[in-house]
Amino acid sequence: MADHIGIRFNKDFGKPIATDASDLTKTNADGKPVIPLTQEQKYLFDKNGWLLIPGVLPDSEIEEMRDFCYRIKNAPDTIDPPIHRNTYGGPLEALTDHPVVVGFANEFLATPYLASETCYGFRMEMSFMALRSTQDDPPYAFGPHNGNGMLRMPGDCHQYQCLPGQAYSGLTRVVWELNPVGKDDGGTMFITGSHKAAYTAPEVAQTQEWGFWDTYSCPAGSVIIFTEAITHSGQPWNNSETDRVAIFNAYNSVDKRWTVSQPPQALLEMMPPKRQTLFRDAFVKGNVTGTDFNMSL
Amino acid sequence: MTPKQRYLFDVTGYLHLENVITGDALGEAADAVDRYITTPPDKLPPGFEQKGLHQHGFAFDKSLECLTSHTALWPIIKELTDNQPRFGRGSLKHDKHDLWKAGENAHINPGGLHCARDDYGWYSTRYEAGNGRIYCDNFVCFPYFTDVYPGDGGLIVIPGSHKSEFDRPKELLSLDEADGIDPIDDPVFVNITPKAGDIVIISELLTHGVLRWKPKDRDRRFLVLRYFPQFSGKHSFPQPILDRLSPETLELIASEPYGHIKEIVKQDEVTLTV
Repeated sequence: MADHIGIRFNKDFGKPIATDASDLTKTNADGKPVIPLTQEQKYLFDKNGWLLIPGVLPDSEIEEMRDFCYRIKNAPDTIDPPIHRNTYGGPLEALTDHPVVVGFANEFLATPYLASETCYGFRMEMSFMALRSTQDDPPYAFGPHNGNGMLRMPGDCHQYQCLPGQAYSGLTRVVWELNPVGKDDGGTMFITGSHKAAYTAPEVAQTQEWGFWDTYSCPAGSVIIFTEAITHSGQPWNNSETDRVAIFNAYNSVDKRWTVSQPPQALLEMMPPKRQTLFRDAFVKGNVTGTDFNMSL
Repeated sequence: MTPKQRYLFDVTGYLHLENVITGDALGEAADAVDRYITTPPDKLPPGFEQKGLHQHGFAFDKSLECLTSHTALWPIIKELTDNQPRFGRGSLKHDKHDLWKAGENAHINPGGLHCARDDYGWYSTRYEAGNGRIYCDNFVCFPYFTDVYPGDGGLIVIPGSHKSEFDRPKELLSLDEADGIDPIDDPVFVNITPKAGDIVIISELLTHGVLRWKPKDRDRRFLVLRYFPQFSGKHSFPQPILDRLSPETLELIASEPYGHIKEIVKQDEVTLTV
């Protein structure tokens, strides 16, 4: 058990749950050690609503994944078997439970009594690809949405909840940038801190030029994680030297489901058992694999 | 407080009001600041002294005293205190290039980051939103009398940190070893660059600090005006300072019980009568 005991309560009588994120699932489905968030990463994500972790993937993996993305778009028939012709498949499957993603989700999404070494404590919601260039016709449109996540009631997954020392990110987006992104290239934009906003955004927030829109620059192989509770937007891609090749995955807690997106059933059945638990149905009681359901942690 | 101000203060923890002290009001205030700074200590009026800051700078001249309830600030002061304001302290800061020396603290905490949680305890200070308004029981207003440009140094803030629920890592900023004082530039902080006539407002819960003042031919001059609810604490102004203040300011600094509405709070704008 970690030194730090959180303030989550058990179901019964306000008994504290004596687990820390670092106590949860310690390896991913490929047996790789989970990479926990640092205190700085936790502080920044909670404060900002988004987090950039630069340079996570090695060049060899980036190249293979990027090529796979272009094949999905331009030559899907070259991908066999066909069940891999999507962003859950091929080399991109390794992103679904990348050690950095599991480390993040253990902290900001996982339910302790639904997590084990055979079963993740969170769900995967969806996956799609953004392959954007300056040749897009029409260009990808600036379209700001979401925000004010602390004022959402149950039934809306775009929520953010926090207490001293812990937070719940709700529906969470994980963006893998497989090409470099410059500050002015056209990465995802955020109104930093708006996941906790208590007031309606002013009209000017719906203009891309407003000075409170933030974005990032990063090398290829970086990951940007953001709560869907934050006000954010895509924007046109501006760099004619390179395309934007990004994988947009999303995650949620085990008790909630936003979409019906799933990998093809045959692909799902070929995944390692632990990875399959990413896609289990959304319910709580007994929703574990390989261990007994026990809320008395 | 406008909806836009309310949204930005809520999301970022600070407001930058541009060009709100103008014309003669700015000229007279800047002249008064200059007089306080250049007056020899033994020639200063009773109650004034330089002890770190130029103490009670707001009271040195009526052009400065009236800034405590400036038209641009007044609706914000009233909202943040739920119409129960108390003005607690008002010093003058005079920042110069030669005031900065490399020291141990630069290695421990480059940028001098701090907030009310660090200084007074996590339980000390409130920030809440309710009934369409913001409540903040410890905030500071900085009217500026000189210009700050990018690269000059001065106030830094960590936007959104007033709502942070995770401890700020002690090693969040790294010392720029070549500089010896300032931290290495980091996207986690914003360097606010007000111009003369601007006013910056921050919640004391907002993590903030300062970069050393770099220009050798210009200085940085601003008031540090501190506000609290009227039912919390009391002022400690010496009698010679109290004797200089207008009735409206005396009412603003007064401690009062919960629910009491001061006469000045009933006014949309405050004019010093004496």
